Amino acid sequence: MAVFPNPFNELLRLQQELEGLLNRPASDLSFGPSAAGVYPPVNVFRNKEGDLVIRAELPGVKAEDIDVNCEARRLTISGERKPETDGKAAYHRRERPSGKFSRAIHLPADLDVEHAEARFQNGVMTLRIPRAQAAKPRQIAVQVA
Amino acid sequence: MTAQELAPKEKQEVHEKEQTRPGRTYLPDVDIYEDEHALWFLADMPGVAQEQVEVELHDNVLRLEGRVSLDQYEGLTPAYTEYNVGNYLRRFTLSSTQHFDRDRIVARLVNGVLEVKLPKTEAAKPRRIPITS
Repeated sequence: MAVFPNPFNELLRLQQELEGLLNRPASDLSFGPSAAGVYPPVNVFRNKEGDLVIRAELPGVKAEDIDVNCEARRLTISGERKPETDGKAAYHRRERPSGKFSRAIHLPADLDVEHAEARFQNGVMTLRIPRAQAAKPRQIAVQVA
Repeated sequence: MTAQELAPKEKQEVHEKEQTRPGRTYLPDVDIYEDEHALWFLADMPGVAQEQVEVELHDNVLRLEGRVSLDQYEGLTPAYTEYNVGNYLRRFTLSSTQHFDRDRIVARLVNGVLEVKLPKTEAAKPRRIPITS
């Protein structure tokens, strides 16, 4: 059975958008070469209001084992993925490592860190940091002198 | 206890000639282990909701499939990316399905990890053989 790629397929569109930025350092949000090779990998988005949305896949980590800290413009995501068994089970295949992780991210300046929110759903952590009121575009009324 | 540091892994894409759905599909990382009652499969499927998982044992092939939810991405424009998202698919061929109780296979999704339990049949459970003198 042949399936033509549907240009309206949502998944395909998202994958292409993400792929487009994968091997290309972003202009205002590059975390530098040190960002590679650190767990967990992150994707960073902006929503329509200009809020920053940071997403990381943390399957098998419990919400209480994730620590998100923000100090000035330095965001740290750390935690631990604990092993599922006590080590007594007989393994046939083991591809899912356990261990600790910690990653620091330098945030852009236009954010209101005080009102950041983190959610953990289906093994994916989403951190939303609203854009600072001061950074939002504002219309200035022109007064007649 | 575990002082080991986690390192990121690049997702492995599934390469099959026939894809029934457009878009990329990835191989989930899987642990398989057994205890005295069952054979367990754990597959990392972050971003997949409970109702979008399919577990099927057909003949002796166990198929684990998960479709990623996209509603979380509505209205978002990527600014910087390090990983791609996609559906998950993995198949395992079991050598001896008669050792498992097909009617009692259970699957659940916990924190983005699919857990499948294949209970052993009574005949397949380990038995300690007493030695009499």
